[in-house]
Amino acid sequence: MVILEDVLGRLLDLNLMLVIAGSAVYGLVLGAIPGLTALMASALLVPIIIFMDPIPAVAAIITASAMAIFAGDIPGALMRMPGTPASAAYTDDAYGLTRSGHAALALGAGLFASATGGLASAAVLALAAPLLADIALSFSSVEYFWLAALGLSCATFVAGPSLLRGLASLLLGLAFATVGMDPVSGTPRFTFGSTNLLGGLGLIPVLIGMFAVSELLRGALADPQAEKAPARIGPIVRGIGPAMWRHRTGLLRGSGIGTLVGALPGAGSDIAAWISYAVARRASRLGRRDDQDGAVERIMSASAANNASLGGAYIPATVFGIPGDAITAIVISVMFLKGINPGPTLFLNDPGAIYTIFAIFFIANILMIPLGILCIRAFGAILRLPAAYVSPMILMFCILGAFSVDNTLFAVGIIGVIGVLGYVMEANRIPIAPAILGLILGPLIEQTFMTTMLKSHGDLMIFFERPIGGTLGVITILAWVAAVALHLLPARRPAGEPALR
Amino acid sequence: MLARFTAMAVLAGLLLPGAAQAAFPDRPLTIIVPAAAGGGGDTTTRILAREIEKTFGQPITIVNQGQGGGVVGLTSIRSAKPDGYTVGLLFPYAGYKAMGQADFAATDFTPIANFNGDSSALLVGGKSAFKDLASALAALKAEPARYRIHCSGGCGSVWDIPVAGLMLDQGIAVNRIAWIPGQGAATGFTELVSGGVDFQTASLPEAAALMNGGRLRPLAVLSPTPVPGFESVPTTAQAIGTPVDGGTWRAIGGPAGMPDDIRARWEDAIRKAVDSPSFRAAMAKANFGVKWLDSKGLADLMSQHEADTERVMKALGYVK
Amino acid sequence: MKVNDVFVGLFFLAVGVFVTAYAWTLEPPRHLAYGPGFVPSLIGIGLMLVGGAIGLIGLRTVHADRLVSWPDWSASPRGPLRFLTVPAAIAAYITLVDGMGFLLTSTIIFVAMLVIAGVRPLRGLAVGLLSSIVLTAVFASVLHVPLPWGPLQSVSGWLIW
Repeated sequence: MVILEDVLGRLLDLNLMLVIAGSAVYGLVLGAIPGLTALMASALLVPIIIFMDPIPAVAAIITASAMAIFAGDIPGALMRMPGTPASAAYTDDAYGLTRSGHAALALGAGLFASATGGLASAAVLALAAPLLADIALSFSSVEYFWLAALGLSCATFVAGPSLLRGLASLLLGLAFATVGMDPVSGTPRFTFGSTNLLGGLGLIPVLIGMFAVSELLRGALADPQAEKAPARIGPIVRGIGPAMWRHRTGLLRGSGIGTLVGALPGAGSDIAAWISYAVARRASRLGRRDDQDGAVERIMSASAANNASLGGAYIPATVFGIPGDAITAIVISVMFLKGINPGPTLFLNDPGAIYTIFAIFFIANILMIPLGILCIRAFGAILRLPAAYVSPMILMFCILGAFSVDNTLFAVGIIGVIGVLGYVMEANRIPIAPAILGLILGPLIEQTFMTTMLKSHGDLMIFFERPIGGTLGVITILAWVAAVALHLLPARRPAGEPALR
Repeated sequence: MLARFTAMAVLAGLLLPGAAQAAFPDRPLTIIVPAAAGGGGDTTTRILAREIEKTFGQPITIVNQGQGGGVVGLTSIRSAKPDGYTVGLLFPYAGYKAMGQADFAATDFTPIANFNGDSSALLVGGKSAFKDLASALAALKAEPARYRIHCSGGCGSVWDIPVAGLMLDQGIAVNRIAWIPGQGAATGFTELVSGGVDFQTASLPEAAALMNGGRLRPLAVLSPTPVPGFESVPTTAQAIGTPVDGGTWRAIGGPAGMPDDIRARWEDAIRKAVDSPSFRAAMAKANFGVKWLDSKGLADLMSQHEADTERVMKALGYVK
Repeated sequence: MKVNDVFVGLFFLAVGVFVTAYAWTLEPPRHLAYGPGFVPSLIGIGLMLVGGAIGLIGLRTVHADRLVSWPDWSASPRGPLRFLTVPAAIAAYITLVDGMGFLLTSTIIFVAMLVIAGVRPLRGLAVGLLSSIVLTAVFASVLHVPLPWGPLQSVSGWLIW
């Protein structure tokens, strides 16, 4: 109880509340702009929060990153341009709902699922952080390899109507991921002597190119003056209660998967969203359906997962000082800078500080609902402007977003080239989502495979020797076999599964 | 009033570019950091830049270019205009050459000053049988092929090279050990604690949290004197009687051919920053060691670094 | 632009051949059981198989379908022009921004795209200039993204907050 009073005392601070409100708006705006990610929102805060007190400094990052991850859903649902990579998994589902006049449902599902996922992971964080951190530390490269391979099986679910075309796209994404320095020996590959290519193509520039620029190209062919403005976004809150109850298992499953994946160092919110999406698509009765209900189930599962992973990432960060993702890496350096040294002793020495940080998670995720609704409304209003005015603005945001990742004009060139490629791919019925999946998981899968082989001197049995790793391996192999078998037995194929061709 | 002043200044700037040469610096400066935002290189540079801004009276923009393990950022520094308005963070760079990624050499840069240094340490998991450096080295000497050492970052880099050099001096066949690369110290710690590797080379501050929890144990730190805050960790001199100084260093340098007076201005500004109590306090809080070297000392360090790296990389078999 | 599946298959086949061939030129460093070319060659082989299959299946329709069908340019008279504006604007940005600075480059791109989309030039200029000033203020002044200042370089100290 003493701790509770201490925490409340620290929270009831006008300065802190202002910081939270300010970073919430900031995170929403950045996340809603295609190309500006939650990570970038956090990184750009560093020079400002370096002057703040410890608690507001960490609060600013927590709030801004949570808001940015949700806000990525908004342009994804309304324009098919995911604001952050974490929204890419369900962009097509959400955009599909929007086109059939259910934008409010798509965005409401995303918003409330995000908040639920965030709150669930905060609860886990507050109750079981030390315990879960132990589990995260039992993962070696073998377990990560299987996790990534399981994630890759998502490709068969986002492949669209033809499995072959989905695989082609996935492999293209994987090939893109190999550009640059090889993750183990550092040998340059596909760089042709270019220093810029040494760093790879970059996930963000490719994402902007594939989704946003290719969409601009498609839009350019329509008449801008005649282009119909998207219908008004209807009421968001009405009807969300029953919908959440109907999809409660999806929400819980997504929150659980998100928290766990987030807790694993090296797997962030984008991977959490894909895995949760795949599980919803495969393992749940609702999520398998191709109708509106199925889409909502998948959006809710994946959207809960990407926000839950943010909280999950703080589990190893606060308990062991090991970042669960790139955002918590920044948080850890800020915490050190401010004298809150993360580690097992933090829970003993300064429980007030750590539980105040956890409490900020709750506040941020509750605040997300009203502010998120405002943000959706504002964004909807912008979209009702004529396309002639909106397109150049989006293009400039794409350019600025690509540039600010690594401050090179090279990335701006990438969005142009990949944009044209994405347009041609879509025109030829090659889905782009699997390529993004390959690009996200490719580096992880190659790096964990090669590292494991280095450790075992080339003995493949190592992948089945560890208990957790072996179990994960069997699950993964079964998932792949099941996926392929379902394609080869067309008669028993459930509605909505992609056929082979 | 301010608007008019600004407008006039804009005009003056447009019409009289030559008139602005009077005092360095008369416009914002850029420091290129070849690392992503949030990491050690980024944090230390931002702390330093905050102090330099006070001296120069101009804002400093930090440009993060972490792609390619730093190659892209270092290339940007090398090819920047040597007018002193763009400098960058230098750190151990010789490993890229052996790996065929880039060919940076000391002559590509104008060394200005070194401001940070952290020593490499050899760590084992809490359950490891090794309690001290001597027994670990003996085991590695007897059966080098049995052990796996995590390099924290890429292998052939800041943390593993000095440790491999130490082992080389002890007559250990370093090329038969499996050196495992990773994406940073944290990825290695999970491997070390989960039993995926046997040893890891990393800096002590990064491992501090796990050391407190007893999940990691430092065998020795490659520093001539005990590291402040980690006095209980034996130095190599205390552990096996051989003093070794190895680890990372972070310095500010410009592209080759920077005018001498401008280099001196930077050196003074960095010296002032490093001497300031606020810089020392911030570095200490963030767990970074302060290590001052002037331009000359940095140049010596860089050539020493290149020689050391080449020797160890050859022994490891990276260089053919 | 839609092409016959035979060409789609050939494209992936060609990418696969290229990736595999390149991967074979990568020599494993002496200490690796699996070298840097291992994973790329797997991906390359996969691309060849998938590309080949798509192409073969496409052969069945090669007589029925047109080999290349262009988008419906006639849907909008200015469609092709606006389509080309997007890559052209990106190329223009890359070429111009270092010399002319962000503010000027962005204004030019805005005006060009707005006018091509049928907005009156004067109005386009106003919208473009205003948008560019706002973008500069947000990205360069507040977020400290190192955008080039061009002619404003010497006074940029007052514009970075």
